[in-house]
Amino acid sequence: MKPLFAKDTVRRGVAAHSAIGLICCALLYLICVTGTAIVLYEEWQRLEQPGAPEMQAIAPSAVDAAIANVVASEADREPTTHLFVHMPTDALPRTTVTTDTQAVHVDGKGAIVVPEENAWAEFLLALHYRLNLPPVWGMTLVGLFGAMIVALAVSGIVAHPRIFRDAFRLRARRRDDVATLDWHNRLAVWTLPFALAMALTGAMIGLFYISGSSLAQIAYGGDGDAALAPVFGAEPEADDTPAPLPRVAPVLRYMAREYPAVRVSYLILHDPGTRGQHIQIIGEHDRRLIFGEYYAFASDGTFRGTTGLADGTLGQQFAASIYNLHFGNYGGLPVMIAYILFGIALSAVVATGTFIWLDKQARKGRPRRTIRAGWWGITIGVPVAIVTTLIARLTWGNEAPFVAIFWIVTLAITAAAVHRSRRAGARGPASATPGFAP
Amino acid sequence: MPGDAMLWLGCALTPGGVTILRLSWSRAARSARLNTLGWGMLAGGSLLAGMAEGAWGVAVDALFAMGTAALFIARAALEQPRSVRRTPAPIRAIATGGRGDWARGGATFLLAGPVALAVAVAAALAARSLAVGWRSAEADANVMVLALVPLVWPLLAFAVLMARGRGRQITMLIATFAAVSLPLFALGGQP
Repeated sequence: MKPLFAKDTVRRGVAAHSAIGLICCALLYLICVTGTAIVLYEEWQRLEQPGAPEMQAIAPSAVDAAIANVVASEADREPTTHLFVHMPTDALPRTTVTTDTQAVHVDGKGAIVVPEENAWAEFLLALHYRLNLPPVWGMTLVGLFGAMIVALAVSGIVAHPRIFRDAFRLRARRRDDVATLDWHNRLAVWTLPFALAMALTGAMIGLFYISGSSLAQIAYGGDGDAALAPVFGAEPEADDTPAPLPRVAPVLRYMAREYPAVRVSYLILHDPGTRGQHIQIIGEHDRRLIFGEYYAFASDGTFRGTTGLADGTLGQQFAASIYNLHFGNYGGLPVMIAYILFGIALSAVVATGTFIWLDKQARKGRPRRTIRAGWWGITIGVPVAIVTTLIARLTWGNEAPFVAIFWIVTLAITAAAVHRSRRAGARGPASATPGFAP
Repeated sequence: MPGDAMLWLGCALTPGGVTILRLSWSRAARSARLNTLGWGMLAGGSLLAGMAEGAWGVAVDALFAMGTAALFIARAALEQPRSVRRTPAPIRAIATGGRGDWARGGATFLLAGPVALAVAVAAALAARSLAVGWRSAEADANVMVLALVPLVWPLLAFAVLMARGRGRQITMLIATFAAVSLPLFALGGQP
């Protein structure tokens, strides 16, 4: 079979692939591993707080009661600007009310039962989204790495002259460099659609601070909200004059009557307790990639219309589909299992990619023992550190310092691997460079 | 054909396509007929799933394709190797790069990283200007910017890394920037 690319192109493709991979590998691996774990975001929350009240549905009048109870509990502080009611869904059958200052679970009658305690799931999400850095820097960095997966995928195709011929060839039991190479290539080729979907959607989310702010600067005088308004809708004018809380039960009844196929996942109260307050519903649509459609209501319960995420322009539907496509919550448990398996595969592709480079260096007479040991440390350290934080959550509690635990464990394992390698290197070169044999 | 039947027929065709390709690529000689059949089943499966359930159907169908391939890969992983090649002995050590390599690497990083990203942002904004000029919906034009930056930048970065010599890398970036600047400056960034 004739190769897809000329030899020289392949050689330069390999060089480009190696260069990008080496620069990105450690954080890319961390992003892939945490992304795999965060597929179970809702399930982790249920594990963290098994005693929280659960229900398949909640009566509209109980939601009114829940809102009144939460607002009454905040009488001694600054009024909240937004109030979110998470309605029971298949993935998370709980009703949770979140304001600017607190989040509480309520029971089927709307009574406050217990504060929400999901610090570990939030830590994991923040680690994946922004590497525990401030949002602008962290999300942008993650977005940049997501885009680099696209570059790695393209350069990987160019660097692989027998991509189709070898598509099913996996000599895993040879336990040598070829096995590592085969694992990397086979998993990368067959998870290519998944990797590209994850990379492009993740990069779109992460690079928003660059692309969105550039768009806002050039076309909307720096107003980011105005740039997004054509896609996700605009906020009505605020009016801070005090007003009684709206009743949301008629809104929920309207949704059940007029949109019986739509499942309400969130009810959002904007500027509650003011004359400018209004109600927004997020409704999930079955067998759609969109996270939902926005249904807008006035404070008196009058329906104002939808934004168009479900049936608006192609751009609106596309933008609304990014989140679900990225996190795999569009098809229940089977899709989640598939995302976890492919996420593990993608993590293995990143890990083996660096080992391939190290093997190549060793064949050239540059064993790079410290880097190999450090890479082993990161490969093992990241998942072990995540498990350690989970153990801390289950034993220590919601207040455990997850960020510190994660980074200390990861760095300690990496340092230990490097130290062990150096000690072994002092005894003899053979034991210092263990081959990678998956 | 009802939507469900079309969706599941699509999701059945796709693993069939992967299986046919597995059969075709395991042969000693290339079989154009089997290759065409395999790719055709993959494309047909996606088409049916897309016609039945839109983007959701295509996404689910792609999971079936990757899942089937994963089963074949898992089976291959368990097979005993026919022969075990000895890993070649390390060749003599080559002197590692000096300060010049770092400087060259840094310059390449700057060109493929921040400079290419800036050109990609300009390209995405230019595409938006053209779209707005052609009376595209404002939402579509704005989403185009968000979607194009993460697509154009890695492709441009890869092209820079593939270019022979610093001169070609710089020329490529300047030429791209000049090309995308024309619609951007001519049409402006109107909302």
